[in-house]
Amino acid sequence: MKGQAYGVRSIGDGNDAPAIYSAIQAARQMAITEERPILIEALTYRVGHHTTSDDSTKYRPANEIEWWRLTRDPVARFRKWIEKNGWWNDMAESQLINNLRQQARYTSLNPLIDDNWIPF
Amino acid sequence: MRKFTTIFSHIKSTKMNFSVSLLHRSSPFCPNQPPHPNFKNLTWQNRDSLLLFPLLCSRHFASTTAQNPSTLNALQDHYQAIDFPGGAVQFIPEMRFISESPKERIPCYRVLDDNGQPILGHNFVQVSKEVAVKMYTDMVTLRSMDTIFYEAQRQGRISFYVTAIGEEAINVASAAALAMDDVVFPQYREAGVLLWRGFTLQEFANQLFSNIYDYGKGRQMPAHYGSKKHNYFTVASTIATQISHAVGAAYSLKMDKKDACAVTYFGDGGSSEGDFHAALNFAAVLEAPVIFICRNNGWAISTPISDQFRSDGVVVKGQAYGVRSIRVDGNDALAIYSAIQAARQMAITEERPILIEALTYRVGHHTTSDDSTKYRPANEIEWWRVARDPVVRFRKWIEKHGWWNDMAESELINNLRQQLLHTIQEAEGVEKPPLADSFSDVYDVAPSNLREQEQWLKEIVRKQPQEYPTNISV
Repeated sequence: MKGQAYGVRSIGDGNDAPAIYSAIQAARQMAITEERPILIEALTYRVGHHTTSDDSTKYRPANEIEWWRLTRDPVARFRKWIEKNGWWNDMAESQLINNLRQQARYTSLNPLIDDNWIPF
Repeated sequence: MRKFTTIFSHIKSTKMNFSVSLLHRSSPFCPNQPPHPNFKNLTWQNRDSLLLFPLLCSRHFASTTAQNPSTLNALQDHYQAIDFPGGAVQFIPEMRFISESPKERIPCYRVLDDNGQPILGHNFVQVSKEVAVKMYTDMVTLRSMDTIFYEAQRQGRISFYVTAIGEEAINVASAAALAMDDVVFPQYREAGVLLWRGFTLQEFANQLFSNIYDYGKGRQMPAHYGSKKHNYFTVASTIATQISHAVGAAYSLKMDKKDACAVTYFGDGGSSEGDFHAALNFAAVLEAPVIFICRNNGWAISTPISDQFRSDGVVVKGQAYGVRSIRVDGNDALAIYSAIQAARQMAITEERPILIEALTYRVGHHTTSDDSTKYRPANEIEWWRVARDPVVRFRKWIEKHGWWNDMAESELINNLRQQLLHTIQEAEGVEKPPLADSFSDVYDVAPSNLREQEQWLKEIVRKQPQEYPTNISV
């Protein structure tokens, strides 16, 4: 609603990667060819705390956090889509996570990164 | 709203019966009542499922029950939504951009046409003869003040002046619709509000001449009036600072359960300041009883609104913050009176802010430091001055009612001229406030640095008396 208040074209979407991709591509096209600003409101949720200085369970319910973390996970949703297209599989997933674990262990020299560590 | 209607049409097309409360006011998302995860995401994972689920949307839709598989499929296509803070948000497959501006401009409420005749289908709050005549005489008084005080500035008798010529209806009619308990946060083109509230011509002149009877003790530029007695906060030239002050005051009135609201005025230029946007947002969130009155006179000094907005003016900015808004013919006294009365009622009884964009024109220069013929065409000024004069329009209306006539007009103008010239003579003859007043009223006890500065200034005046006015006591 705020876009129209300033004379700016607007659209809304959120945890849907193809929707974001499509909207940004269209927005970029319009911005450049039509020389105009575009406002995009992406509806999403901050699953983690605000920062390491914050404990968000103090001001929002745990089941709300959990619901967004599990049911509306943007990464899991996109994985399902690329798997259905035959572009991804369990083996690639495991390999990716193992590689990331090794890189994280190497770059941080943190012995606490054990074999059960996952990046998310 | 257009988008919502489209969704409603989609739902209608599936022949389902939903009860949509269009008038229901959305309550903000309440963290103390977490949404139930089971009903958050209205999506089926199993397309072939024949189980019948109660289909609960958010608080804005009534419950309904799926009846058969084909209906399930239809619902699935149309019934994906998420309960996001602020209410349900429908998901759609189309990439739909909201345009930067609506196709049609927001229409403008008016009662009287340019000839002072009620328009077809007119709708306004009735005004009594007494109120109407006082409105008219105050509008004429305001214009007479502006004419004569402007001349006084040109003669070098006062240092500065700002007129409200062409905007008299907004001033006086809005004041007439308010109550004395309503607190006013003016910009600097609202002397008419203070006039309506009983500020005398002599009080105006005393401020302009910065004499000892000026409530500001000569420390404000001329035309920067203020009066605690009249619930009129002192004018500040800084643009838009008064808007957020009004919101705070409104919130205070609400906490004290007063039957009153705060009212603030600003120009189109003020609506481009950050303070305007923060104020509207706070007002909406705090549900503060405040009326925002934007005098959109088309010019922010020399910047036309075409170089200031790409939106449809100021009225559309209200919805962005959740503020109810209306666009009004600012040169129509009856339209202003009716709109402000309705706004005041809503602000107080419903505890909400209201935004009013009054379309008008600044017939005079921005101030006595300005020559507006440098940046706008003379025929534009003339057209607004002659064809759309708010005072003349209202006069035609009250004359048609038999409440005014030529004789009363002549008598009024002659009296005003004499009174105003007299107030100038009086104000000019009174001594100025003492220098000490420049250092008082900021602290309860003046700190040492201020006392030192005061002593330095007195020494300088004593050493070079010829450099300072003789009517200021040291």
